[in-house]
Amino acid sequence: MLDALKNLFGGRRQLPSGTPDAPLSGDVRALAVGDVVNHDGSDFIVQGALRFEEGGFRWSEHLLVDDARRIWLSVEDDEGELEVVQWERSRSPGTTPGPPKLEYEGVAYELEERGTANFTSEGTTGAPGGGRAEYADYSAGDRRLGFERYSAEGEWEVSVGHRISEHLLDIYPARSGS
Amino acid sequence: MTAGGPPLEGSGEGAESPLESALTTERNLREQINDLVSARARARAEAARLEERATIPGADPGLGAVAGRYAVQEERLGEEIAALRASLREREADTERLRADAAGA
Repeated sequence: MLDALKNLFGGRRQLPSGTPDAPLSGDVRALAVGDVVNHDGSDFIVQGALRFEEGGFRWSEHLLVDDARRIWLSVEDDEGELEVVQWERSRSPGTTPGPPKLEYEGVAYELEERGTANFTSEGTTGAPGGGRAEYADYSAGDRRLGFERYSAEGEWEVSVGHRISEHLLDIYPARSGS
Repeated sequence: MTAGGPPLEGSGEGAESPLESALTTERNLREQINDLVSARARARAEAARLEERATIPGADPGLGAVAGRYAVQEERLGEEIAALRASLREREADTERLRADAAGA
């Protein structure tokens, strides 16, 4: 019976390992380009996705667009502990990562991790189709400050974010094969 | 007996249980809402594009009217989305009841 229920939502998607038996229509881990996400009073369309992999650890970032509003959602499933962060690109470029503590727009952040990951891009993201990306993540409670760049000489993209509950997201998957 | 418990009453081999049927209905509603949201976004973009073009000197005088029709379409799609979303909420409540029944069976 459980398998039959899972298959109802099968087709183009696979259940990521460790995912509970919740319908995939509500599973942010299975978010894909073309899906619609209702959040914060807006119907966002997932226009692009970046999939990262570093040492066997995977996470993804999704570009959500509703008319002129653009946000990014990052989704990390760390051994069953899900972290969803809503990001907006900062309009004050020029800051670079490095110090263990960094003050940005009045918030004091601490460095969480820094590294280089392989990535692939789907749909519209503004990033190349794939390659290596350098990143650095800072946090202050539920607040996040993220840096990414897609070439060693490239400019750092700076984003500010905050952690949100996955239950705030209502997902409307695109039709299978669309 | 399967991992999910005994088949629900009235369901034969290969037939959908009421819960499976409810989940299929939910999935279909969600896909329809996705279609309509995408169509509304296209109508909104087209209305904005034509409205802007209509302001260019020498533009076809009919452009503003066409833009207006897209704007009306956008509004109608918004109403359809709201109606489908209300229907989805009702179905979700039904599904939860069936899920509770199945768990208690």
